[in-house]
Amino acid sequence: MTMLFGRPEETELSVPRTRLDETCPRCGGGDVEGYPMLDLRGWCLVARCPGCLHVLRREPSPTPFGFTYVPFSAHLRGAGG
Amino acid sequence: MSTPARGDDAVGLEILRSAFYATVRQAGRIILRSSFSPIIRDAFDFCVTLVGPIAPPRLDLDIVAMNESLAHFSGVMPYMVRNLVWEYGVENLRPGDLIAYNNPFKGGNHVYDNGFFRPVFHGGELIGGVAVKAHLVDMGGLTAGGYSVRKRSLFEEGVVISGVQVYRDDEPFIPGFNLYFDNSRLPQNMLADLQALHSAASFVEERLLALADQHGVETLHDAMAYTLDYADRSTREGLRALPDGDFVGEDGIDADAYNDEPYVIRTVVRKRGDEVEVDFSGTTREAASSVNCSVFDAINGVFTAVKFLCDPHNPNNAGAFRCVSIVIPEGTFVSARPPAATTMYFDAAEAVFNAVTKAFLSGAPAEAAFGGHYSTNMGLLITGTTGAPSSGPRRNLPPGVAEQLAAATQSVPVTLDDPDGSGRRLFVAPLFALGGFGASAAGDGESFVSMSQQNLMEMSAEAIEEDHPVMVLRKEFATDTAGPGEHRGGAGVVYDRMVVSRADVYPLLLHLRVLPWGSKGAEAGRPGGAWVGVAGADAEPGSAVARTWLVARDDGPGLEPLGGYFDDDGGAVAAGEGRWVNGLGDVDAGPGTLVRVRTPGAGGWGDPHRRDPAAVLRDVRDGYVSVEGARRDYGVAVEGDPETAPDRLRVDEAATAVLRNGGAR
Repeated sequence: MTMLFGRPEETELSVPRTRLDETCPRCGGGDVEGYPMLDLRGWCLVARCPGCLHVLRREPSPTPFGFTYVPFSAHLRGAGG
Repeated sequence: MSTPARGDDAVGLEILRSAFYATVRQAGRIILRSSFSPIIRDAFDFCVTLVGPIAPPRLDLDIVAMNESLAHFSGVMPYMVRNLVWEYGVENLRPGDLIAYNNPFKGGNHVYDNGFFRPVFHGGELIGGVAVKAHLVDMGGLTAGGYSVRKRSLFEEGVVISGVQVYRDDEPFIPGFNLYFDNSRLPQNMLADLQALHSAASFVEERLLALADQHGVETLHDAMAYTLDYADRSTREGLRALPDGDFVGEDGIDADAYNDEPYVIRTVVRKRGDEVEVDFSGTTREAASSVNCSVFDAINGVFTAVKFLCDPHNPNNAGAFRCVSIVIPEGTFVSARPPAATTMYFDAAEAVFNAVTKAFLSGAPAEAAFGGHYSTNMGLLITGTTGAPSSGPRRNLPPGVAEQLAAATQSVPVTLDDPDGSGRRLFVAPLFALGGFGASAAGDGESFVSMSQQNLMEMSAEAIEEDHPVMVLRKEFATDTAGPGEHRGGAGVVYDRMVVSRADVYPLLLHLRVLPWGSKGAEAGRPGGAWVGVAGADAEPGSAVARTWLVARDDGPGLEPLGGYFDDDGGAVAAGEGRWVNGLGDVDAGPGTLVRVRTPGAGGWGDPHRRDPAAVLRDVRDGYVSVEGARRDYGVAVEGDPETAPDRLRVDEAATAVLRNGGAR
């Protein structure tokens, strides 16, 4: 059966976490990490403490659909529709 | 007129909170009463939600109240509304709009789940809105009725709509309606269902405006914030009662239609106080066919698991989900990207629910644990055309009226637009399967219930037979399928359905590799399976063939394995103990073909040897457990024959003591 659309080559996918050289202001933990996250408010990048789940910073994704999916209608935004 | 509530008046806010829920529940009843599609009527495959205004940070298009219908919808609605408004443009919203949105990657679920948003204006101010969603049976695509595991992309599933008015100025907008009429095989259903959804949205709008007039917009918004905060506090209170830690849970689905490999969800649930973060790293990539779900359905699986475990009684809204976040790579089969196919999203989402539940239970006291529920839908879609008339006079109506009613309500015998005027009619029969829930410290698991995120009520055999060329030969509990335990799980159910005219059968069997778990020393539920029997070429598909199927055993002649693990004789066995048969191939069924589906049993709770022998005796009498099963699984020796003398069954206490004290199990 022909597959017109591909899928990831890796059979299992993971989210890389970046270790940040920061201290959690809530619990004092030193393992703060940076990674993408989805919560009720949408996709975002966070700096978060794994010890207490305190979010130090939260930066929303450019569109609400995810970091890798930008709908074509985004090209029309601000262009008068 | 009653005294208006104030924003600092707790009693008044509580009255408004109740008014919000009463409004969406009443609107839900409007849909139930006036829609035509049975999947709405019988499966509660819809929802009604009240939406807050754009007033961040306190309120930002939040789902303030939702009715009790389909849990799959509850947690995707916040994303659907915000994403629709983001893409459509808040500046373009007008009073009287009803805007359609069914793109799974923008608002969750599959293309058949059509969402609609109505903005509500009061004195020119956008004070909130209404969002409804319902499964509309046919959106075009490869398969009449939609359900198939074999579709390879969104483009094969049906028409995708991302922000088109179906009502403008509160009047039908013909181009919007035509998107539905011209792309669906069942336009009669579309007309009635869209009108029902519009009626519900209009009712909520009317009530919201009345509340704004009575109490003032400011108080109304105070009450919305109060309602959201109430649910937030209530869920967090339940969450705090669970132990902190990192907990691991796995589940999955069996395969896709083109790759016979398990799709596994791996979760690490990090619970700290009243916050929870679920990391899906290690989860299998996207599937090649329509067994994926969007990330919004995945997070809803987490939402509903947390709600189910921590705060099951408080009415639902988006506030209940504030404590949840997920970390998930884009491109897994539960965070699929366009244009992946998502028809069977509910099975993937149910596996998310299972994985997260297992993770939580691994850290909970044994007394709080429970067994796994039966599976996923284990459904079949049977579709085709028939020249046969309905099986009987429909509700004593004259033929013309009966035909119209049939066309609108179900199967829909709809006359096809065939050039030779043969008068053959299309039928679409999505037939799901129910099963048992897991046992707990409180008692045995319930039997014959829907999967966790659905409120499915099953169509009666009589309704199925009247509307479709399908005979329901058997629907009964299957002996020795419930997971043995001090409290046993709910029993599996066996369904025998025979087609009486040529039909395409699309099996939707996706959860046979993973057995429903047992808790606290109990056993897992017993495996399910599916079989197909083909009648002889000269067989008349009437009662003679039906009789042969009624006596046919799973492992006897005539039936061939269709899906599951099987021994050499064709009987269902546990995963890994036999030959695996991928049950995702379509069946070209001639008249008289039988499809048998047996749902797995649900998981038990506690050591089976601690089960009260009197309860085992009752189960033998009622057919849940055989005499042999009582001995083998529970160490209880039952004397007598449940078929011929159920009132004379008795427990041999001496033999039972021997069995339970190290004797043969």
